[in-house]
Amino acid sequence: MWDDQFEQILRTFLPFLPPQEPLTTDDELKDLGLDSLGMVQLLGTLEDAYQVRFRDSALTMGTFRSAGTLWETVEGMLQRTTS
Amino acid sequence: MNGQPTAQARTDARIHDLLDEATAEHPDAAAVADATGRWTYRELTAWSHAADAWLQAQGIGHGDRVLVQLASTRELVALLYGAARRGAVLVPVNTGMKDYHLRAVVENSEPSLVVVDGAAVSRVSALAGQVTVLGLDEVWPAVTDLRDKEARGDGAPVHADDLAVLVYTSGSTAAPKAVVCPHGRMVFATEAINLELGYRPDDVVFCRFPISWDYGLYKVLLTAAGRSEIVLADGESDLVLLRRIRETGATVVPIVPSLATMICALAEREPRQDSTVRMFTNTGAALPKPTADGLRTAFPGSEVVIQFGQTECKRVSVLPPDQQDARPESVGRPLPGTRAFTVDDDGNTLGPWQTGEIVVEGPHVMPGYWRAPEQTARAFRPSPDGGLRLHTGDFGHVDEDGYLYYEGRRDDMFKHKGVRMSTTEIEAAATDVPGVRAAAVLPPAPGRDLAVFAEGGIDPHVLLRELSLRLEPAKVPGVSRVVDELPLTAHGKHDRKQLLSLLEGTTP
Repeated sequence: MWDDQFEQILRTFLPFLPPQEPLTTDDELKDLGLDSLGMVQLLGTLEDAYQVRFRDSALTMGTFRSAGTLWETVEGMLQRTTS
Repeated sequence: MNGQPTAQARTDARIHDLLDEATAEHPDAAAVADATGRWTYRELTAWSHAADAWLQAQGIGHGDRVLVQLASTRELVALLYGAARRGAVLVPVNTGMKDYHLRAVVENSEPSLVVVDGAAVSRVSALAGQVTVLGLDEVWPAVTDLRDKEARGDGAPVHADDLAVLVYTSGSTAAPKAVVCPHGRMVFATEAINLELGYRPDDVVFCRFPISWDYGLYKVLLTAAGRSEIVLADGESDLVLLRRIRETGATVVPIVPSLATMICALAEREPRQDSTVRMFTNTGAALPKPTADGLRTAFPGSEVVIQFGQTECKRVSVLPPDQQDARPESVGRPLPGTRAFTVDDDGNTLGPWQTGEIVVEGPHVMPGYWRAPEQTARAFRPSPDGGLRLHTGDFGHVDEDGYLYYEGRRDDMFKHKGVRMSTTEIEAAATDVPGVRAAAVLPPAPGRDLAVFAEGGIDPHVLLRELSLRLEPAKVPGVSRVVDELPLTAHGKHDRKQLLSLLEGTTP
């Protein structure tokens, strides 16, 4: 499961998700209001916050499909930088 | 009157003449590319003849409407020119158009044939009544067959006055409304725009917009007029926008402000000193100066061209880059061979700096709305010196040199993310949401996003989610507030001033 920082950042890009409602692993982020511009801004925000860089191969709709898929990518990069 | 180009745009050509002329001059130059490949002008011409022959085999004849809800790919460009050769009227609709809206468009346009993505055939058939609905996956093998045989249609005559396209736009009511676009006026608008923009054979135009939107549609025609290549990039992930612009060697990038913001954000992440882009062309809404500066910094050597217009005449004005410093607030000068000026409530022409409604005259003014005589009569009025005068509903003024300045509207229409819409249609969708008793919408303004206010028992986030099920993405507000009671004026209308203070006084 993701850390608090991730959830906090992600929620600011999900205008359709009420604060009291849980963010689940599989909900489509698009259905929660993540649009193209939000996606591009989210990318930059995550890179700054975690000091990581998404590879070109990770810049797909699939990566940004759900909180689960996105965290998987971020976590993968964190592991690479720490190992 | 504005020291404009002396060359003239034609009024008597058909849109496929643009393609045929480009093919005659540069048969082996790249014409159109999409995510899966590229065609030369010679190839695109052959495909368009095959599409014409295929449409003929389907019984499509002169004046018949062919509705297409398709991704913007090479196939759609072939169908556009094929329908033009046939003398048929293409009705391109956005792939994101919701069912209830699409049903209304089908009823209004009465197509003889509908072509959609294979996966959408059963859904669209259910709402299209008796009309034949075909999937592109079954259509294209048949067209390919005809292409292999070098098939052509019967060459039935097509005139410049014949309709080529119906472009559906948002109106002030919820019902869809189409601008009728005859060949001759589309070609005139295309060539007049190109006198200002100057697309060249070495240009690669990166088009992130769908062909269902007139912005994308005219890019197809403009690239033919310029003998340039168009890269159809709608439907690709915006995360790779910058990479695709660089990979394709794009020299011209049409933008709206929100797309420019995205490009700037991506370029900050991945700065580079070299750039092939020579020109960004903006429309849809005013481009904030920091965004324009951001583009010029990220793409050294590029310039940003400001444009202004509406589907009813395609484009009103273009501001050449060399005028931007002298007239930073201007939206440009009228297209060559056209007029744009302001009038008072009685239709009298106003002098420089006097605010009035912006009206437009010239061969680019379309003949009206499809089967909507009242709305047509309101917007397209006879001009004192013959022809039509388009009342844009936009207010502003001109300066001594005839350059236009846009100030705003006095009805409920506005643009958001480049798309024209009205507060009425968003309010109607909001009141359709269970739990909402009443709703009011504030259009966006500098520093303020499009906002919806609802009265009722609903969570503001849920309201946005519900709106996203009823409206195209661009029409979904960025801000949502639920209030106990909507403030009203003494006349019982939404009190927009109080709504505004509500917005400024509360936190999300």
